[in-house]
Amino acid sequence: MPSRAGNPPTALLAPARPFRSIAAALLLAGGLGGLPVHAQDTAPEAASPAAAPQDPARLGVLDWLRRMHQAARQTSYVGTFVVSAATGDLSSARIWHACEGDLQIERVEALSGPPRSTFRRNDLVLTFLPELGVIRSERRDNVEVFPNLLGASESSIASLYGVRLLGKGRVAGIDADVVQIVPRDDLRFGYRVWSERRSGLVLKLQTLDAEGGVVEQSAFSEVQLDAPLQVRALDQMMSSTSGYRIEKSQLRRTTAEAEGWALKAPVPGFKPVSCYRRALGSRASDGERTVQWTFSDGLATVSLFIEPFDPQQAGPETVMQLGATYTLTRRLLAEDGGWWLTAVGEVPPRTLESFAQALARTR
Amino acid sequence: MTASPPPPPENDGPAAGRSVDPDFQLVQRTVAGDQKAYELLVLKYQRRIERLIGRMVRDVDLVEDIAQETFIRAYRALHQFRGEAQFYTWLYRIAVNTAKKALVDMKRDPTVPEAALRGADDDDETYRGGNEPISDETPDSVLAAQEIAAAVNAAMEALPAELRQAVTLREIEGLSYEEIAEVMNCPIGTVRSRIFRAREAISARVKPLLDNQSGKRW
Amino acid sequence: MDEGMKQDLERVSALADGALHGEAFARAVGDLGVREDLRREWQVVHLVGDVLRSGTHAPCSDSAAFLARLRERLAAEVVRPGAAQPAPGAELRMVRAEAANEPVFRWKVAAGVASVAAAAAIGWAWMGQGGTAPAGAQLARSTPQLVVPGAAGQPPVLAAATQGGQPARSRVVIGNGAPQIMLRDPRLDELLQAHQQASGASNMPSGFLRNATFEGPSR
Repeated sequence: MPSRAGNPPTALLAPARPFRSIAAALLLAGGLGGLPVHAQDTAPEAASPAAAPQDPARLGVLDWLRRMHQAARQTSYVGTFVVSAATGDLSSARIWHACEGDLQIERVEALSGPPRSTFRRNDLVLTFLPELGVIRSERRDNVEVFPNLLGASESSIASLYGVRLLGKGRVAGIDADVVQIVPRDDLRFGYRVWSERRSGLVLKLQTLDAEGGVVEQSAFSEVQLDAPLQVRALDQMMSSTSGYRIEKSQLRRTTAEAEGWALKAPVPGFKPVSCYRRALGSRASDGERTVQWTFSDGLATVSLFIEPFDPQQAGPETVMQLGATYTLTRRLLAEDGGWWLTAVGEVPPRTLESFAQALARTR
Repeated sequence: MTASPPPPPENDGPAAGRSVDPDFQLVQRTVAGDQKAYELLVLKYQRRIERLIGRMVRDVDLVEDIAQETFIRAYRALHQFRGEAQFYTWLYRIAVNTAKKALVDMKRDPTVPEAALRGADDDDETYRGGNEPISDETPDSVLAAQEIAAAVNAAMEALPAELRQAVTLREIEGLSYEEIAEVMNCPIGTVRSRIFRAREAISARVKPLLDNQSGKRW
Repeated sequence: MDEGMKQDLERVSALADGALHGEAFARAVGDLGVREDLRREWQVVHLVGDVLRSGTHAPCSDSAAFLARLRERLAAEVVRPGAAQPAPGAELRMVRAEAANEPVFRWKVAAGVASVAAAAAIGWAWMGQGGTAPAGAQLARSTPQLVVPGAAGQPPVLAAATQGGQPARSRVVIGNGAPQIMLRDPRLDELLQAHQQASGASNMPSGFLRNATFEGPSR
């Protein structure tokens, strides 16, 4: 397989199976395998801009997003990906993505931090942690994928974000259109996207605050598109689990209603996406005592983690930032006891504050 | 470092005091022809690499053999290492490769006893736990390891706060000297000194335990 | 211990952190090559680091023997010239926080580093609350936010809420002007991972890659 000068060839097809062990949460762009097929999906996709590049200046925000999602499904690539904040690199990894029809398979090897390997095949994600001899296994629930993006012709996304074509750019030597996604209110971040000219694949993404400052950037430092990757080779790597103990994520679907939580008023633009009960942290053996209630506006997501208040575990109430991700922690009091909220999302902190204030107990 | 007048200050201009990736420094030096630099990397990572391999292979001599092989292979491939990944991550991958290859070879060899392999055929999800001692770990040596860990912790607790903070930021958070200097609001030279003093205090508690083990595994 | 020896040991410590350069670096590498006591110090420094990061100690085979054996084999190898150009930033790329497991986190708290000032956002940057600078590490609300269920059929009511106002949009400026940071918290890492897991389906296409490489869940 051809490889870029200076990099050792990736031995995907070699008999030995090299891999490092990395623990990275692995998500695929919405629209990848495992999606329910809606009748109305096929029409928009057939007319998708990815099939025949249209004049970029005439595409709306939904068109752009669809194009990017499509490209992520249909392009095979290998590359080095770096996430950085204004203050420095946060992480980097080597990524392989192969697709064959409806099958999507991906492998991520961290180049920084503890060694870990993550594999994804459609909605199954395995994280290999060789130093612990453990594989973490989880299924990404794609049922709640943002339906507007793939189905409807009208979309609430367009009411929340506008788009502006900025011009042409290059990332890792590849031509791209530079597109600005502009939020229509201050409850969400903006984005500047370098979208590969031909396919629409996102090569670089900047998350922008209200002043246009870059809070975080994710980009390929080098990438080979349409790499001759074999799904089967990646699949084999993913299946070589001998010698490992497999741990499945302890989580259970539920509804906010069943759990006794509601929002007094919705936070504009954000719709509930999923609700789980999870066993987390050092109290994991106590069972699934944490509720995770996740919202999305189509681009940004917010998770509200609610657990019974434990004076020994709770720290100070804070707002914290790591790149584009903000976290807010707060103690809540209800008639049935104390609770601890941790709100996490790629949104400005005021949005998390809105969620925290809107959260209410219903029993 | 002989008993002679103190060496001139490390006056390398704007670089004075800054800390860089020590592994990368040693790799570059090795590739420039100084094998001694590589030996320092070996001494640094031998423990972690053997520990890693020990999860895959039970026989302690075999672990050592595979570790040797790992460092040889890394040495051969060093010229390809460009520093876009952390050295340990890169070395680690070589170790896993080498161990897997050895396991495959061993399975083909009818003279290799089953006991030397470790869960190589184990597809059972209820793997027998990740912290099993390897074959020649006696209760004594397990206890000795626990004592060493306990001594480090006790030493940390006894440290003055600023020393403990400095060594924590360096070893656990991986901050550079400059970053620690910002955090602790002190000169870089002070950072360097605090980290050294913390290490000295911890070593003082640990070394006696190690001396008891000399010649054995520690 | 005489002063010379102390300086030698100090240089081993600096070498381990990549703080020696040029001549001093070369000299130190040479000295460690010939002095067993300094090599021992090098080993202990790294043993201590390993214990601090992992919370445990694992024995390994006798290092002197290991190295002797390796030396023989290395002598037969030829070192090839290095990569034409090191990757950008390779030298400055520091090892970031490793396994943020419970025993390790204990040290962060005990060392009083649950909240420290730093220019680099290595961990979470603590932005404080309500726009006011926190007086110290501990920041507890005097009255927690109250959420009470409303009457049947009525929307729930927020009673006696004491609000701290909007959190600061920019970093809280305290004392020497540097923002406060909270270091890696394994619990937080886990929540972040859970968040990324749930948000995958509706994230921006490149959001997935960002999440995929994110060091949040560093175990």
